[in-house]
Amino acid sequence: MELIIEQLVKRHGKRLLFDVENLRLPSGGLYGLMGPNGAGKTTLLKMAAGLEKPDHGRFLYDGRAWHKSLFTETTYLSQKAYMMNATVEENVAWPLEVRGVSGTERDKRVRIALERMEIPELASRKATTLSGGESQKVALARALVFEPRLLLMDEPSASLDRQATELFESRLMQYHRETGATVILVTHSAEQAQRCCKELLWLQDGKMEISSMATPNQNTR
Amino acid sequence: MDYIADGFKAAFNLLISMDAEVYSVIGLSLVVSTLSALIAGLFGTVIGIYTGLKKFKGKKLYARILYTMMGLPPVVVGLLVAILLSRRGPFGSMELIFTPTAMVIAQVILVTPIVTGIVFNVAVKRGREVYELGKTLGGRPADLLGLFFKELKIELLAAFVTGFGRAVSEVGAVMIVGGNIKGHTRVMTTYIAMNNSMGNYAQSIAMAIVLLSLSFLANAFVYRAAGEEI
Repeated sequence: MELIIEQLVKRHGKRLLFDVENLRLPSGGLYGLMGPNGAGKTTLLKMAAGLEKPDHGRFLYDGRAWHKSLFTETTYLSQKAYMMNATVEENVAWPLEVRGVSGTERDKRVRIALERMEIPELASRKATTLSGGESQKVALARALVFEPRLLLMDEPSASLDRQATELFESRLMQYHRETGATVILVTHSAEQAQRCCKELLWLQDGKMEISSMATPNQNTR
Repeated sequence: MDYIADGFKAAFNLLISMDAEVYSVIGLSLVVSTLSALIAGLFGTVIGIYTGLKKFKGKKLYARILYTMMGLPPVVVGLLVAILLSRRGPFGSMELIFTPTAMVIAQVILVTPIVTGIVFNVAVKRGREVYELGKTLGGRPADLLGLFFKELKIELLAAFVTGFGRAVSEVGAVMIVGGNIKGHTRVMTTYIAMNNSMGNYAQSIAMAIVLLSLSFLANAFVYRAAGEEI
């Protein structure tokens, strides 16, 4: 899904968070989004996910302005994913159920999603009892199971150990290769951006720049 | 001090003797309070969820007013409803004063802000998270509502039980708008107050035991229904 940002302005009180003229993110890219703390990365992602409204300007999704049906094609994964008070299996099945996917097909897709995240043994566990790392794996399985065309990920691996982070990145890149979905990944790790992303979005002082990962034009922490 | 022990003995005898008046008072109390809690629960849940999730100007002021309303004095509510429903009042022609309906109206006014306030607080603290999750996973409004009730059922049930507890235990409003008419509008709290003033401690204690037991049972039932191990 191609994402275009048009004359985006957002304020928090008197503070100007964004003043982005125009920016085009072609379909199928895996973009790293970086910037200092408080730069507005989460707000930007939430606006792109339709959860917050800009003060001015808009996002275009394949040339269309935001409309509610886009909730079925996009997803937003936060740093600390919320787990429903249900089993892991039911958590991952929920996005399929609301799309009317049938029982057998739904079960098959849930099983594959859990196997890909290497957590099939957690299927019947209550999701609210999982550790932070396990929860994030379930959250990724839940986010990918309905094959969104636009993935907005807000530091999803922040609470993961090295091994889990590697698995996370590997599955994310695999999904990206297989589906051609557009992915925006907020990260504080320059190494992660280097490993996963071809292009980097740098957000600072309300401005956003895009650069190739081969020649980053900003210092990263 | 013997009269207290005697009161408990007499209360026990009164309860097992299946005294018709006692059980009609208990029955009316349950009907009026349950109906009030259900109506207030419906209004309070809808208003609480909507205002808790919605971002709007003056939300802080709204919250303060709402929390103040949660402590509405029952006698003030009773007085207000009595004025509105009295023969010379704007709704006097409906002839509702000193009826169970008037008691329900007063209790709904009293309980709705309590349920709204609790649900509003829950929606502000956890509702947004649930809402955003449901949205970003592609849920439609009906799915989101279902998810919201599933995720917050214990809090919502607690709000309902609190509302019921308030309704069943208040005396000021029902005394004013109901009039404590025997066999017609007499409920547990007005029965206790009346018998206490008459020195009939056995009756008062018997009804107090029933009132406490009902509150306990209502809580136990709701938490069991919610499937939570508390």
